[in-house]
Amino acid sequence: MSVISLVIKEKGFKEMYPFASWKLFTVPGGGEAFAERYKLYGIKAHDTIRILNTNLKAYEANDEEIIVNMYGGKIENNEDREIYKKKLLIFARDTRPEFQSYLLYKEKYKPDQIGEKKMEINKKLITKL
Amino acid sequence: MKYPQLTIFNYKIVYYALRIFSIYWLIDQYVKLSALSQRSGEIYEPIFWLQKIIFPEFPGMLLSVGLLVACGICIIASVFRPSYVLNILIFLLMAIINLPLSANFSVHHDNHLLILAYFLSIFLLPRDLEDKDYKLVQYFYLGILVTYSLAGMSKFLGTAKNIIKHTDKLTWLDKNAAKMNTYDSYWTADLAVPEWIKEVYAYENVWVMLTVGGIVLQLLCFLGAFNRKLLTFFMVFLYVFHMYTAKFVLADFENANYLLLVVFFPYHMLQPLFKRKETALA
Repeated sequence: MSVISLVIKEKGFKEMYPFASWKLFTVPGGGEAFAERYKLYGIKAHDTIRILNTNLKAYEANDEEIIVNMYGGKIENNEDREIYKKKLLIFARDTRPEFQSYLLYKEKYKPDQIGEKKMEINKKLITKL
Repeated sequence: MKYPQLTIFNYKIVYYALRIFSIYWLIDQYVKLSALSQRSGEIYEPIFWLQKIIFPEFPGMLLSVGLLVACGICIIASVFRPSYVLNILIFLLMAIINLPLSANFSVHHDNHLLILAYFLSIFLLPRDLEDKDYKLVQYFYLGILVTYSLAGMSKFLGTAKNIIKHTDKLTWLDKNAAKMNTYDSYWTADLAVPEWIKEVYAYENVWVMLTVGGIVLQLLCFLGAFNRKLLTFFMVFLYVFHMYTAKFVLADFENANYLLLVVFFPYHMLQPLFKRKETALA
């Protein structure tokens, strides 16, 4: 089954087995030279603050990361951009109502710098919400 | 007890233990469903096409509670009157309840094993099982364990692919592979890596052995289905493995971990304790 799944994915098709949990961490996370993630920044009285994932009642920190990344990817790739911008704004207001508006950035970083004193993060503004 | 007799003995206890655990599971799902129902309605992204038909919107609490209560009734009924129909109903209801929780934005796997356990044991009714049917229980064990063997296999293939293709991707054979995996998990969760974890990862060579050993053991999990001692060994291994992922990768498989204990526990080892009490009473 693993072989079949690998071949199918290599050929460019989608995973067939919905419970592909066994594929978790086929290669270690952070194993590539660069990694990307989308990140929300909040604007409050002319201050821009990078929003960190935290556990809230309706959203766990992990969920927040997944939600921002999914909507962020759709917005950047122009897949139903307006719909997902609206959804991301609803999410942002749900979780961080203290801000007046929000910025969506894509952050590019080197995983092997995590935990080091200095870490370079390359930021690209995707949109304003 | 010989192996066949012992396997059937253990399964007959598993049948009831699984149902007691399932009641706890239903309460746990209630807590999770009520937390998620507080999200704005737009923040729901079903994954599977079937799910889009069943739950085009996140289920309201009335529907959720209805499903949970129906499932609970089937579970309790199946304790007193084990039947195929009830088992199928429990399996279907659990799979449906799981959908909005585990296939929302991304797929979570914590409930996978429990649903799989019900699916594999639909035809295993405790009263009908005799010692000679032990092979059916082995298939039940195998079906659950194979999940882990496939996980191990995919890591082998993933590693082989990257080595053969000479990609610059890190593989599980590299020094600090496990460390990177942990650090990236903490980074994407916006958390600082705890000091004690940093200290544990200072032993680079030990971690290479632990990682490779872990993957080999994961691959070999399926063997537990055919030998009782190995089954107990793999139960402990998988429990420790899930504890590791919870602390080091922030991937919590709490329900999966409970399920492993419920299903694979060597209940026959407790038997002498009861026997002694009986003789003391006599």
